[in-house]
Amino acid sequence: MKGERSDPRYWKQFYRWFGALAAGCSLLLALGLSFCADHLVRLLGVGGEPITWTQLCGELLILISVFYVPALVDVDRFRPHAWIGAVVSHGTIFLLCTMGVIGFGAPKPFLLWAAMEFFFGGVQIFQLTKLEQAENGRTVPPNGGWDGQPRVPWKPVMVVAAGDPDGMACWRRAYFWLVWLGIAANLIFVLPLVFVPHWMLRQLGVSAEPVLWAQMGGLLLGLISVFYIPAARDPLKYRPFAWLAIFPSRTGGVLFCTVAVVALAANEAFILGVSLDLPFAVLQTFVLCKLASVERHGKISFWRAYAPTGIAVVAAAAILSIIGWHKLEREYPQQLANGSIEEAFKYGSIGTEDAQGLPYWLWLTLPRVFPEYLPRPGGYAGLGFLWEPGSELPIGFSKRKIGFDRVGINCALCHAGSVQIPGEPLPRYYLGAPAVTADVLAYQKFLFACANDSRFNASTLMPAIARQTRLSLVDDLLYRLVLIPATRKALRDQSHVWTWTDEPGRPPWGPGRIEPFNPVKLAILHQVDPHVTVGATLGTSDMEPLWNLDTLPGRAFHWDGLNTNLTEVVDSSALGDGATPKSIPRPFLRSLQNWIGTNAAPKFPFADNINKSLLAQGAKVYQVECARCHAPSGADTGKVIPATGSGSAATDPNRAQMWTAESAAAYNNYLGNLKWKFKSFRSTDGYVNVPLDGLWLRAPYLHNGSVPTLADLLKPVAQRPAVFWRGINDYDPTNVGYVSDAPAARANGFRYDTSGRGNSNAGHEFGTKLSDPDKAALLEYLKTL
Amino acid sequence: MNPENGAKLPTVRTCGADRVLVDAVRDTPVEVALSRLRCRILCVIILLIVLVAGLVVLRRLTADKPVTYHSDAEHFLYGSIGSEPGGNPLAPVGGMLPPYQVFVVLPDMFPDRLPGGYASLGLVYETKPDGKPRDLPIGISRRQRLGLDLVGFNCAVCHVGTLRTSRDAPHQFLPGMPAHQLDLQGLFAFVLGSVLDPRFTPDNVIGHIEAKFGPMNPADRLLTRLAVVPQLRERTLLLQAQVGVLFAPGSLQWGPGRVDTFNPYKSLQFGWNLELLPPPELAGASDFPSLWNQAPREGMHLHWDGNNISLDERNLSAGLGAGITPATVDYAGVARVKNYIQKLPPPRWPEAMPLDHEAAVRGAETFRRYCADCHDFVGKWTGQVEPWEKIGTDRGRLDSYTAVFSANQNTLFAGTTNRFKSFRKTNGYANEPLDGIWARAPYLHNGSVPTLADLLEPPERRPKQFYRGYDVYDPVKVGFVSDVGEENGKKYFLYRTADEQGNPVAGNSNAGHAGPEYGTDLSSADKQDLIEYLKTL
Repeated sequence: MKGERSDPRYWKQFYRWFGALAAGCSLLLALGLSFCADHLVRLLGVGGEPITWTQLCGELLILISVFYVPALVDVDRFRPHAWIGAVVSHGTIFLLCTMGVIGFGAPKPFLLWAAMEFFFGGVQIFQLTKLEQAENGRTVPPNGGWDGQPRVPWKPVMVVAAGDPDGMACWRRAYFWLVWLGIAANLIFVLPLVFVPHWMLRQLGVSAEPVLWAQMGGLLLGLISVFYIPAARDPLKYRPFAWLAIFPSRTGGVLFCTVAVVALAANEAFILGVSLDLPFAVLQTFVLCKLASVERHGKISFWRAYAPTGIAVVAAAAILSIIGWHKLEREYPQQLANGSIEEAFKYGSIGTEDAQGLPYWLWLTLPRVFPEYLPRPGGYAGLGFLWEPGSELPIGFSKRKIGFDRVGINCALCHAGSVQIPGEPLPRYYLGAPAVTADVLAYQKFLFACANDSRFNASTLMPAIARQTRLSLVDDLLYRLVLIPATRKALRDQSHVWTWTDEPGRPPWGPGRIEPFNPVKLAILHQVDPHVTVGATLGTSDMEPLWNLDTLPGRAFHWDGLNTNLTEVVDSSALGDGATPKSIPRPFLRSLQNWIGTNAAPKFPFADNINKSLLAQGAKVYQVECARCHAPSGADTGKVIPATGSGSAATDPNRAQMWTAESAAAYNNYLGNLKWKFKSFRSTDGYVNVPLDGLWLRAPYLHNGSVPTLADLLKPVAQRPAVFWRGINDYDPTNVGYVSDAPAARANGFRYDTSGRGNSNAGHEFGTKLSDPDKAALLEYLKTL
Repeated sequence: MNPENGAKLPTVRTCGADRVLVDAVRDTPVEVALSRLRCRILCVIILLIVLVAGLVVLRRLTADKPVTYHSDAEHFLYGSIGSEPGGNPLAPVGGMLPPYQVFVVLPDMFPDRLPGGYASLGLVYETKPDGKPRDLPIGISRRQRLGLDLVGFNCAVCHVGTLRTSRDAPHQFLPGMPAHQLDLQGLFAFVLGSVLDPRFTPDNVIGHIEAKFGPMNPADRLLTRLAVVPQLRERTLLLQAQVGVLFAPGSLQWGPGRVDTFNPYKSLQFGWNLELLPPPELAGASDFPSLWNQAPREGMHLHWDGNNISLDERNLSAGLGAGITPATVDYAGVARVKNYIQKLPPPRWPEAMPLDHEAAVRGAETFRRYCADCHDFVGKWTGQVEPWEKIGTDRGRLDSYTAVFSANQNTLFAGTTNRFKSFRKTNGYANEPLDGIWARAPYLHNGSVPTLADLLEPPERRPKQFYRGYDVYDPVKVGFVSDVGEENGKKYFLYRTADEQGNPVAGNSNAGHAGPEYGTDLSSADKQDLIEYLKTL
């Protein structure tokens, strides 16, 4: 019928159905991009790296498809949106796709999308034009339908309707400015992404291949921003759009970015999407609710007025918590080079990262920023920690990601030793041996000195980190605002608990030695029993080896035998290193325990040095002089003998006096009612007769490491060296112990003075009265243990 | 000034006529609305202008555009590997040289400190087709970063050498050849000392830049005065503090063609205080090696002491020496250089210089018997580390690379797939193939033997001192002419193996690589033939 074409209703119908088709196709494409992005791009032969950009485009396209819908339902009321959809939306997508392919070498399949948009956009423009023509030329129809009002030219200025109730204007104004602020915030991302994508991607720290996906993402975000404009002007007339702008538009952005980063391992830069959308979602909800409430003269139920805002706030808090958990608390499994127990011993986590882990980039750069707080140049390797060639960390350090990468210590820090064989380029490492070169106190003091330095702040440390790596914007902010201040505070607080090590009268620990339990008293036990303090006690002792610990039932552990239960010893050592009762990985510790329980002691590597003809005689001397206390079958092996008095070895008594009954009781009470709480801690007044397996590697000797070699131990006290040097791993196979007085030792070692408190080399004069041949034979035999 | 309808405006009687009081006139609502609209539009326009201007400035400050070259060969000579300072304009990282314009005018500002300009330090300036020299020498790349034109070193600065076949022949340069003529220590000393000189003031700098490059725009002038000059002085003070000990009087003079590979590295990358290191560790100056024909070297022990078997790690590590940092390195630029040097053929013996082909054929047999096992590409020990006890050359380089330093290298490029994993402490020096050996004079890792003929003599008969840096070639002894101390006003560096009192200079010993199995006991005829053969490699 001729008249049909001039009837606006015809064009509205046409527009409605065609528009539904267009919106449907857009939605289909969008869903494909969002949920089957990898299939779709493979199907089309387009790359998409990272796939997050493709999914982002999909998500934004879903929102745009949703924005098309109200205009289909009522093309009169939502005329601006109909035009925006047809011209701006379809048009710019078409333009970007074609220019991307033709001008910038994007893959050809984008032309398909361009063609689709051209088709839909073109037809819709045609329809809308005809509709307007029909409206302008039309008289009032007999059966109504068209409201006959003159069309008012549209301006992006806020509407102040004549019939508004009081107080409405200020909320309209608030909404107006809020939406425009949101659009401006969007534009900060949109304009650079579309026009200078490579520069913007570099600033964000994320890549996009092909870059057209990032440009499209920016464009789609810009289109959504355009759809916001009419509602800014008159939220009540375009009320559906006002709500669509929040849900699903802003909330969709928040959800997408959160899910992508938290669940789909997208680049952290996408968290910025949350910071963009979340505040506007919450604020716009609030303002719209107020508008609605004022509109009805306040006659609106409390829930309708405030519930949406409440929900928005709660949802926002939830999203922020999820992101906070993701960046700070989320645990990732540790990935080691291989699954062997040795690798796990060297680098596996014993749960110290949770409470005492250092952020990785800080750990890495501190020695470069504050080299003056290290005793000598060389970074952490200069502190005597063992470093396998090619390894990211020294032995004894574990790296684990809990929100962010953290570095903690583990058992191998003190229980992996080394021996430099002359002629070999690198020292040999022995897992389980005492770490004779490691200066653990110097490491602690280094960290404390850095934290107490006023330069420990973002403006000094961030440039140092910037030399090593390009942190993403989010990680940069995380370090700057959270991690650096938190680490500084934690280290400073901890340094106050360690001031006792600087008291006069306490000789430095030196390499290879540690105070195993005094720190525990202050850090852990003091809160259980305030009477437990360090006081004047001094317990500096050599690190002990970890081999064959399960082969002698009933033996007491630690130099003074303060616990006879190996499980408790392992668990308490992890706690002493910084693990918490919650973070301690007990199953892993059991497998380590299994290994150290049966791990054999290393054999003496200087086989040529052993005088085999003396071995038989040496064995006999050993049987008479030493076996009762030190042989595996000895009656007193593994038992505690008093520190002083008859029957004692009369070695330095400080270590035995350090661990008191209160300390033991406190430790037994520490874990409350946990299933694995400690029960076997006790205070003894003596030292354990240790088995002598791997004796050659246990140098220096006696619990405080005051006698450098076995030959010296077999001399009377007056002839033992009063001063020697320790901490280097050159070995002296003849005297059986580390080189303690050569020029290299003096230059690079730590000067050990036996006159210092706790350092006495007195006692254990067993065998000092043997004849020289007997001593020589015994020495040869001891090398084979 | 439309009076409201019906209102009578207050007037004042003055001589002549009634005048209306202006402040009694009110604007109409339309005017008010219009002016408010105009205000708003003006605000929006101003906002847009500020936004766009801000974006443009931001874009300029964060742009990272190297000068690109079409051919790989030109990229090797002038292209950027990312060694220019980079990162944040407020806190730049990396880099060792001042910005481009400052770098170019430094010799003009301080002619007393460097009378011959950069060319006198051994930097090579190519001439453009119009006969003028290029603005930057070989080995200095240019890149726009931090809002400025910056310069940095690239591989070619140490690995492009010059050569004259005779005194009057023109200088030619060979890519990949050790830059035996480059005084790197002198270059550092000049740049560091000039920036810290009291005459290095903003006015002086701006004056010289404008004299050379024409007037600066006011923004650039302000930037130079307020930011570039002060920041440069600060960064140079820091650099001076870190590596100053290597240039202090009494320290080992590198001389042209040599560098202490790892000691500056220890300070610049890891912050070590070099003054606390034992003196034997600080005598590690060694010759620049050649960079051609790298592809067959993958898997061989690289660096003089064979501390790495990975070409990629070696390339990045050398880049650290040029001023890159893991955050500012241009991987694409480095990859392009790698591509080029993988396939770069060694230079052939120049036609202009004499070569006895029959002697070379006889010499091949001698080479096969004495040298091939360690120096032929398919030799049994080629690419392996020869223990120091056997080779006996100077220990300084070996001792400068310590196990503790090697351990620290494992942390470089952390967080990327390029993290160093293959550095190892060795106990000797690596046997290298001898491709292009004629162009790799002086010889031994520390460049202590000037010619191949001298290398085939026992150490007592090798020259105890000679001049380095002179690029006229001696085709008979095979090496550079080493007895010319001065020519055309340019002085050459006297390399000493022992000082005036006869005490050996640490790091400069010319002992080692001597004895029957190293050919020092051959007859002079055999040695001549061998040398002729070596010319053909």
